[in-house]
Amino acid sequence: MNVKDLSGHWMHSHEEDRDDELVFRPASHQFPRARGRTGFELRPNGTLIEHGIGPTDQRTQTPGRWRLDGDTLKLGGQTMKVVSVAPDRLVLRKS
Amino acid sequence: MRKTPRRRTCGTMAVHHRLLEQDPGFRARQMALEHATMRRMAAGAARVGVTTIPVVVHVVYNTASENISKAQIDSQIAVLNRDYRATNPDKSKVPSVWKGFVANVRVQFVLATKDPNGKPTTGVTRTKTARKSFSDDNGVKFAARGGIAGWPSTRYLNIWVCSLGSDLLGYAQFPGGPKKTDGVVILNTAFGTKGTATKPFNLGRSATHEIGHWLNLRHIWGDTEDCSGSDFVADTPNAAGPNFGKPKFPHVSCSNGPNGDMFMNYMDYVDDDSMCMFTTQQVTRMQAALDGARSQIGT
Ligand SMILES: [Zn+2]
Repeated sequence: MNVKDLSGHWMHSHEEDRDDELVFRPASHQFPRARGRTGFELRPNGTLIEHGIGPTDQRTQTPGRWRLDGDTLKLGGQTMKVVSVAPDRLVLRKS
Repeated sequence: MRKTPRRRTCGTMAVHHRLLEQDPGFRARQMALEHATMRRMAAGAARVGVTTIPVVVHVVYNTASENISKAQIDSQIAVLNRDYRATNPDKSKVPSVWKGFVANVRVQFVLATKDPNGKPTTGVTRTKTARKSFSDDNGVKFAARGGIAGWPSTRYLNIWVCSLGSDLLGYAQFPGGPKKTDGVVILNTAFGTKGTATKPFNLGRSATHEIGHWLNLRHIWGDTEDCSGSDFVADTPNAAGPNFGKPKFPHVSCSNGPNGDMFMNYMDYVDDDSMCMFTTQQVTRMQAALDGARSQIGT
């Protein structure tokens, strides 16, 4: 896997999570309606926009940086393992 | 139980990016309010009995079906009056370890019978808009942006009901924010229990949740993606993040076993049929808001 595979706007398809594996889909995916949905935009130049849930449910956007080392993804302050990546599905594991 | 909230107060305030940008005084007022809240929570509630809050529902519609019926609006008010008095029958679903935590907020809601000029009203305004849907940017609260202005927030709880973009069921504003945007916004298909209300958000709990924010409640997970955040309430277990859907008890995070997250609390993110309680300390916090920044509203 490389930076190009991971670049894009991914939203958390939390309905598909299993145990410690988190599933993400492209923002264009037809998600069911949810009370909120988080995600991130990974840009090839290493910058990142985290899409979060604000304390009164308004959406938040927080800039940051991301980096891929082998299958280790550093996302802002978090470190995750990339389990698999395809154009329509990204699976990460909390580490 | 949570670590002492005092240390976390200032850091958590930093998340109000939008309000901070638009209103530099907001952060200082919010911090002052949090300290006042702690003092009031320690002192005990000043309001006795049940507080009645006049509500105005602003229906903003583009299509005929978005112009929801009075019956759908009444069904939402009925839900609020069960949830805020702990008379909702589904509180029987609370796990036995937390049954003793279920608390009556001592607030009831009535559609306003007098408008701001003292004229009789149904407590409902209806506005046709050219906008297909609104976002979380408060646009629905301004006529110039396709919405409608609220009524004075010191006398009325404003509830705007409209179409919203995907993955947004509603949003709110804490006490102490700008008056012109004070109130809650709810997606029309997540409002009430009848008409266009759609599963799994068809039991009126989006409004229960947003009005919790309007009365100063925080999310049960403390608004951080890890275990560092707090909701400033002592009787809700620390939780890592939002729960979705219909979780099975127990769901453990943040070393909060064996009972885990209190995901059936109205301030989590689960489906309408999976949330059914406020706690005693959440009620203390809401009553502190009614004695503080919201002291003018209600009787
Ligand atoms: Zn919320």
